[in-house]
Amino acid sequence: MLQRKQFVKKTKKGGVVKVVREHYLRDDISSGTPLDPESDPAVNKLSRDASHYLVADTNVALHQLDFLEHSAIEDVIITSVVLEEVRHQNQSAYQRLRTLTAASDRRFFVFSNEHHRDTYITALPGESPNDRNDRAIRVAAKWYDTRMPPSMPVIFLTNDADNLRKAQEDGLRAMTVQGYAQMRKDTPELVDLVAAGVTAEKENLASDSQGGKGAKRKRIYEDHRPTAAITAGIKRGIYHQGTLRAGRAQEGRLVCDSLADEVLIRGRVALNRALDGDVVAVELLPEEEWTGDGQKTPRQAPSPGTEENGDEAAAGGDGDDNQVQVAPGEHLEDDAWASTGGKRPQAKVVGIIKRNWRSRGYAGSLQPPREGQNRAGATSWLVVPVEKRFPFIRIQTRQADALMDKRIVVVIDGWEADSMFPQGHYVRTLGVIGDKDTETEVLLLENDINTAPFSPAVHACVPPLPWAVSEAHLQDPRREDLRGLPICSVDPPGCKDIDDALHIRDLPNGNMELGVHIADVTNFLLPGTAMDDEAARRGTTVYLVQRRIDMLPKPLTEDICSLRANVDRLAFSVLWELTLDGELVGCRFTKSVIRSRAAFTYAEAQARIDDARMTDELSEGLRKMNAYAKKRRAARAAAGALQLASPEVKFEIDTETQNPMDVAMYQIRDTNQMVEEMMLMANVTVAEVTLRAFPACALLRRHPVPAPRQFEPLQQVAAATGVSIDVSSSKALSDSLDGAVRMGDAYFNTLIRILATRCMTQALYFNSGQHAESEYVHYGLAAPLYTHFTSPIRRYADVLVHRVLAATLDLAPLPPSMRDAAGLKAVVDNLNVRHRNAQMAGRASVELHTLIFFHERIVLADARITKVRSKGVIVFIPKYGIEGTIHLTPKAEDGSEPPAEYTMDEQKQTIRHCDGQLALTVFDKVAVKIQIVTGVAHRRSLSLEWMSRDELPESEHME
Amino acid sequence: MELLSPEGLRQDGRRPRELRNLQSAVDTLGNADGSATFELGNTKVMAAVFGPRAAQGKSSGGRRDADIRCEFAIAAFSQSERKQLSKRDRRILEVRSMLKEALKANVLAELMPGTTIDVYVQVLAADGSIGAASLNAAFLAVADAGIPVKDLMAACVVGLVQDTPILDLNQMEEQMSRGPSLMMAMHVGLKKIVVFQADGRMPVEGVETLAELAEGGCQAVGKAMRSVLLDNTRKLALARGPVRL
Amino acid sequence: MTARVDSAPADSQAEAFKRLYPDQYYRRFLSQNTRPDGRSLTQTRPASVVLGVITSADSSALIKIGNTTVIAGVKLEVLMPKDPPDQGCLQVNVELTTLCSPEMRDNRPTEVPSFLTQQVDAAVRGSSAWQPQALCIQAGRAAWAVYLDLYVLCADGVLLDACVLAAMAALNALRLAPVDVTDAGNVVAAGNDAMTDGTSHPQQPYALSKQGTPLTLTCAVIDDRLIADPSSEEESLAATVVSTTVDGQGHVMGLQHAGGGVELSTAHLQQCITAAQDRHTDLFRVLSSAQPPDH
Repeated sequence: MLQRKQFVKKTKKGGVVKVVREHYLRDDISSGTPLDPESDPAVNKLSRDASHYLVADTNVALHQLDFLEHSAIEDVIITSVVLEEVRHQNQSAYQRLRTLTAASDRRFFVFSNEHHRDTYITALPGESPNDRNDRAIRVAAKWYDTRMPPSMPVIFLTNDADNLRKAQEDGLRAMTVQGYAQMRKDTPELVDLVAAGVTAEKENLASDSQGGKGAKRKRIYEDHRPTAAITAGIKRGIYHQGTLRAGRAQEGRLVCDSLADEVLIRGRVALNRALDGDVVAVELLPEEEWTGDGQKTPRQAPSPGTEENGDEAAAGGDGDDNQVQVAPGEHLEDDAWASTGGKRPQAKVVGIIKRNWRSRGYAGSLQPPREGQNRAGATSWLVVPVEKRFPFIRIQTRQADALMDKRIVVVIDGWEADSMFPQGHYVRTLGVIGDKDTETEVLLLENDINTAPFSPAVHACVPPLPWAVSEAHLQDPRREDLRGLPICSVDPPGCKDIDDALHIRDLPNGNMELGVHIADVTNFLLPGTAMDDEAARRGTTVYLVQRRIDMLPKPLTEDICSLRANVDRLAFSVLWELTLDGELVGCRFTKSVIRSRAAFTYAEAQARIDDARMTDELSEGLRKMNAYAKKRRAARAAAGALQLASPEVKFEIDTETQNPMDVAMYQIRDTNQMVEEMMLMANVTVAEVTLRAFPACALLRRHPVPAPRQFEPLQQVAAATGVSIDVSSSKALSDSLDGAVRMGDAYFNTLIRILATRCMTQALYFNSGQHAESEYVHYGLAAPLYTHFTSPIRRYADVLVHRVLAATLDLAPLPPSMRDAAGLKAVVDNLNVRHRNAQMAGRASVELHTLIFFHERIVLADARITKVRSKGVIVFIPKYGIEGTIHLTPKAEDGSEPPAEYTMDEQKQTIRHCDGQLALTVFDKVAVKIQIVTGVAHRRSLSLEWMSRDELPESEHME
Repeated sequence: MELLSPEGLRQDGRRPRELRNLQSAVDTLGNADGSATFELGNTKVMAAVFGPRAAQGKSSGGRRDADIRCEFAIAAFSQSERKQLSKRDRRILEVRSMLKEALKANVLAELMPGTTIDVYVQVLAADGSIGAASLNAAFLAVADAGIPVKDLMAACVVGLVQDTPILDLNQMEEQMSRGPSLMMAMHVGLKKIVVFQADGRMPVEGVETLAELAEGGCQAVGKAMRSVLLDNTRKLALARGPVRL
Repeated sequence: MTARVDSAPADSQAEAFKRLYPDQYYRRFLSQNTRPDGRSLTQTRPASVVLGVITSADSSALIKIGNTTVIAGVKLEVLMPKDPPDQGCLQVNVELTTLCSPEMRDNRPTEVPSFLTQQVDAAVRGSSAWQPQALCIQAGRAAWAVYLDLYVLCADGVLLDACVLAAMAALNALRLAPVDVTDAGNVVAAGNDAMTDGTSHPQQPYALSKQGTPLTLTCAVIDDRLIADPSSEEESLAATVVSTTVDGQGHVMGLQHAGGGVELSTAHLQQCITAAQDRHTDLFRVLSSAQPPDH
């Protein structure tokens, strides 16, 4: 239905290139309401029976999404100019707005005002684009107002004072969101959802309402410097720019390109409202102000008497003594610093270049009132975030009673210099604190894991089931038929996404052929498809204790790609030729069709190896592979590869309650190491060939050489027991670790390795074009080159590597996106983030299940001391994989510091009671009592208590 | 960039199946035997035809049909960034050969043996679909020169954006669209396809949908061109007075 | 389709004579003090100027003198000024398109385009209308570069007159958008969101000076008689061609006498200058009354 079109030309001066675009105006744009006979009924969304229609301005659409998303807000008109402005300013806000307008159960209508003959306006002389757009929204609102019958009021929502005034002058019913929410007596919780304004006029309103209660509040933080001053300061070298990494809300670290050393930022005032992940500008403090080692963070916050400061102190929110589950690669670097002498450069934040506030919000819970404190009816509350690295967030709510035992999501709206904590608002409730499903939601939110079902566009990329290898696959000259080979897979029990399978066989020339077969995922996952985009965004499959969040749709993950037993499957195979002595004499790659003969668990495969009566082809093969793997492993260790240890636990889950019934250390068998060895070999080989073919765009994985100071905590505790650790090279470290043994204490070596593992940094994916060759090295594996090739079903990095390998072999062209360095960097950076988030989520899930396991259960267990502190010791409990602090001097009832009863010898890592009865030294065995302490409104934490080892049942004793 | 909003509007306000403003005129240059300008939105193309005239030179003598020659050029200021394209630029050569092949299919060359027909096309402003606009201008100039043709020939471009077929892509749509596109020219009365140039991966079932839309587009363009030609003939006839056969 | 109506028999004889003996055909008219197109010897053809025809150009003009058609387009770019550091620069380029005459395709490359380029360049630079300082954005850091491209679409005599007219029309229509130079040395549109202070400074774009616009009149000498504004046919019969450029403020800015070996009398020269001044008044009126469509 093409109407006569008038058109105006819009000239956009972007930079200095003149861009001219046509802009057609129409007379067939619908208004979306049945009250308008000219509106197309097929697109109408607004209700005839609504009590009023709402028109939101851009700032409302940008900043009040939680309010708009509430189900009580309906019959909203979103103009296209608002959508366009929101899209420019904030992509995620735009997505949320679009979700609202697309939802069939919500009455949000998009009015294309910019192409409507009667509502399009051109900028007046001297009118800024912002003012023009604001006016366009008012013109659209006015258009509705005149077009609707008097029985249908049109309400214009804006929080901008100027816009409000102009709208009222235009004769519109205009109000602020706050005002509107208060008017909606039917839905009182709407008021909670209104985002706190951080604008000047809001302040004015606030001071007006408070009347004589002091005109200006005391300033706590320094003002942020203006952008121009920051830019100039960075240029002159007096300020430094970097991304803040905060371990706790009151301490952060910063790596700046312009400084050799990492700088520390200590204390709330120095942090000056910066949050973890913010890009900030800092100024170095004079050296005499560096606080150096060990000391507790000085409470720099002024005005200690304020109510807010008191709150936080009472909550102990910044204490770092709570129990945490610590796993490999993760290590409490703050502690490392605290203990290692020497002063590090310290700085203070002078400005924030880019905020990293999460639009998805922060999970937390209301801070319960202190004992004896009556806060009934209070509306201003602090939310304690689940993650300690974030500050408390102040929100306004009238539902405090209902929220007290809930996990809630809040977002930060702003942080004024006169406010101790950031302002935010309540978004939604996740559930009751401590509940397994609630806490799982929390850990998914905190780690930004997308659990949304795959979109129809993604599903459209999946071949229909049942799927089978076709004649065309077998006829493909680039694909070898390897179905005759004795291939099997070895995985954990219950594994459905089988990425890899193996075989070994004798060759006629007397040599052996070893094969690693990897699911040919890229045969199904094509570059540029919706599924590819989604997989790149997810980056990895996430494994929680009882749940798997897939990177690819289920039919691919569990069936079509999975190298299941006794069905033909497509694979990407690596085939080596070995002499009987295990010398490699050849290697080739091919796409293939395979048929796995068995899908073993590690235990089953181990049983076949161990049972000498099993002489079938597969068992013999497993034995040969195992023998070869051991040889390789020994050779790698000799070359300096680190054998690290990380405590992993597994849960026995009650099938009815889905709660953990038992926890135990994960048993590592030869077969685990055998498969690992084969995968390492394939990965290294693929890294080499792809880099040779594409020096600038191979995807590799590097593990940076740790700085010697990272090993200081390990060296310190080891030295206390007379063991010295040489960290000059990975070979030296490996040898030191091998040599770290104590007679009659088999677990000592494992313990040392666990501590060593924590000193490591994370391995990272990277694009070979982005780093110098000297940085390619994988420290932990002592390999000059490494990559990930063997798990393409669950890791996107492997998918990219498959594509590069296919291009190397001329099986397919290299996707152009691999050559786009900037684009690829963004993809790879995301993979690193996703990989890390997936690990954190997995670990948090284990932690959660541990907590559930200990609920209503008091357990005695054997533990080892890993660190000695002034008032207690940190212990590791191997059986449950948990680490935590035993407080030897419990806090007094009134919170005051008890008299010192213990003395610590840091050199010897020993803590001694004054009366000389008790002395605890690092690595000592101690017994602990583990139990859950329940606090206010379901807040639970794990408590460890020192016990005499005599009370420990014999069965719990470790060697 | 959202080329097609969920409300069903393109960036410039058109719906998927709408052409831009189309303007054309014939007899716009004094020297040529036939000339035309063709504008589609901001795309503007001029064409001139010289001939048929007796072929000069050795090669073309004794031909049994007319020799159709084409030249194609793009003005330096026709795009956002100033760019001077050489005559031997691949993009120039591609359009030139497309024009020549299409005109050979369109002109009844066998009626004019031993002659040369020169068709020159100059793009003055480029905002997408320049191949189609050039062919339309060339056809109008040929018709204006009174050269006998098989049928009225019209061209347009269609593309697939977010799985929706769209008609008459402007430059931004051509650049930002990740979907396939199709340039089609047809004899609109005979309903026969003269040019069919597809770019990009296209699902088999999509080809038909796109071709259908392209046919509709060609018919619409053809209708507009027919009325321009009829108007011009009427004007000429009036100027000349009654014609006796 | 449209068919061109055949010429009436009476005309075809004259047409044949014209083709066979062009000289004699023309001299017959000349002897009557008239020209085949009905003009008197000093009469010029009507000229027209249309501005803003090319949306992609920063300014543009389509001009006609009789059949002769030229399109001019200006593109602006920001460059680092070299020497002198406070001036913008200009680059002119004239091309004869294949459309402009039946002979174009087969002709060998001629020096005509480069001659025209040089003449237009000289006319623009020589005029007081050209103020390169006005093109400076920030001395030593950024200045506008003006690219003036002219395409001859139809060549029927007086190409230089047409090119100069088109060049002047396009340059007069040119508006420079207000821009700022950021600290990093990037040029951004003034009031653009990229500026951090958030304030916008809407300004009207400013034009280059219009004072002293040079315009050209070409005359042909045939049989010692001066023919103003000759068609391409007349130019081909002429012994010599004289192009006079004046600025409308009493200055002669250029006088080109092309036609090797033929002398030119002082009387003719004086006549040429007087005619050029008259023509300047005409053309300047056309130029001044042309309005860009959007303003």
